Amino acid sequence: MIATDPLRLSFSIVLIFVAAMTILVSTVWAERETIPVGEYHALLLFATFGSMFMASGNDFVIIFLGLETLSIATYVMAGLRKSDLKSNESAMKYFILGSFASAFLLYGMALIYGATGSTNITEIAVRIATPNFPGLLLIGGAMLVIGFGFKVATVPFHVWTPDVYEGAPSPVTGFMAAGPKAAAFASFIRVFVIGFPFVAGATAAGYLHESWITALAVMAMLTMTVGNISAIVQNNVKRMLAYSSISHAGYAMVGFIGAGVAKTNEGRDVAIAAVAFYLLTYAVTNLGAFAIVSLVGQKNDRRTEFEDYNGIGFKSPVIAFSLSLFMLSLLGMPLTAGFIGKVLVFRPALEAGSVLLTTLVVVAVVNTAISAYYYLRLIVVMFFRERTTDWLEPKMPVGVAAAILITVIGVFYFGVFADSWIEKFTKPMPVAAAQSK
Amino acid sequence: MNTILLQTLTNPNVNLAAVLPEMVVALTGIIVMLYDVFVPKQRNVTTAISLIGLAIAGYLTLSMWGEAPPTSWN
Repeated sequence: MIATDPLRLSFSIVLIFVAAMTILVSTVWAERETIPVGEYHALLLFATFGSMFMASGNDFVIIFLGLETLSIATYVMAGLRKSDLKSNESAMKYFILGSFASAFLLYGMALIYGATGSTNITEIAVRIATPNFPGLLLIGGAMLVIGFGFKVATVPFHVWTPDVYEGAPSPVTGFMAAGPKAAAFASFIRVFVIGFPFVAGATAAGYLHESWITALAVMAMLTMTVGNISAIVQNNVKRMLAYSSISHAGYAMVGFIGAGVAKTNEGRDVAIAAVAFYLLTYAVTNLGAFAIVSLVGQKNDRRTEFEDYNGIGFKSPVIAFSLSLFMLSLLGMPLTAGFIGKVLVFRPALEAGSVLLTTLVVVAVVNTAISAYYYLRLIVVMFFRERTTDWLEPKMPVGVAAAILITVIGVFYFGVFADSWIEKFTKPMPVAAAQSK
Repeated sequence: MNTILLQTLTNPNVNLAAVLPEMVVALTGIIVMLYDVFVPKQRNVTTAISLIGLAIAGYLTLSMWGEAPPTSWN
């Protein structure tokens, strides 16, 4: 029921890092607002526990248990600012839509169980060639796509994201954009890439494999395009980062699909490691950006509009230069973590040599160019716009300073010395039977 | 009756080492929650406990790359 493989371990590292950074970023929020800090830390740890179980679960039961532990803790965290209507709305929307998605996921799992007679992913991969009811297999697969699609916020299941991200407290938003997304990707990859492989000569399994590859490729194209175009028109930094997070889910899916079409197990593992590394670089960059958004935001995240950042470039150089670096990394500038992450996830899709996947990579590259508009816009606003209102430099607690320092170093470190981590993420386990049944 | 029950019960392969990082994170959450019950209105202690718990879980996860437990919870 529990797998011990590079997929689990690499995603667990990402999830632990995200939790630790969120705790550091939250120090500014905890100091400013009277939130129950102990409860918040406990919820964050339970959410991390759930997400780690999602990454390690090799069985539908474990994945669902992990998902629910993660989701329930996150619903509460989104609404922790009890007197703020936006925070309440965020928690309620996330809860209702999240429950729908969980229902789709559970129903999909039940149908797959009906078709194969097992909830174990390794067993499913074996039995998929001769399913009891091929129709159930296909409908179950479609429902799993919907359920996971909601959790990773892919188009057209992304509509909850901007409102929830805007209303939740900024450190929680940073956590939601990096942690639960990574956990959902880990399970999504395990179920589809490992559980629904291509089986030569098997009609239903072959059709299922072809269908999910095509469906996810189309969803990835839509996710990148809708995410980036919607981000352009935003005037609120948190909403812009929410749409940016949607587009980044699309980029990560390029590597995911690359893993699905890999011809060999080694190629598949390299593509999975690329997605894990991409989500690590995204977590580093995004949490750094949200640390600054939390800092600038003041009580109840009042200052989150683009105009609130007008002309702060030379008034608060540490904040402005760090945020500029994070924007450049999200854009994918060379020498930053974001660049290496994107190169790694695009490569397996290009190497597949199919027209669909090559088109997918072209769309991803065009979308990267589109995203330059809104990432650079924030830099322009900070350095080239005049400020008409007073600017009070926010007090930076030690925890936030540490988080910003770690993420700034991380952006350069993963941008220049990524090799050792990529090697670690692709390293096979020493025991042949590491993948539990 | 007892014999029937014993025959149907199978002993699962409970390999706790395989889920140690997850258990450490959950245990840290419980400790933080209990500490907050007895000492409310604090910030730094639960922050420190949480970070220590996550550091231990991170170390355990990294150490699993070298020695992977073969199977667990079958």
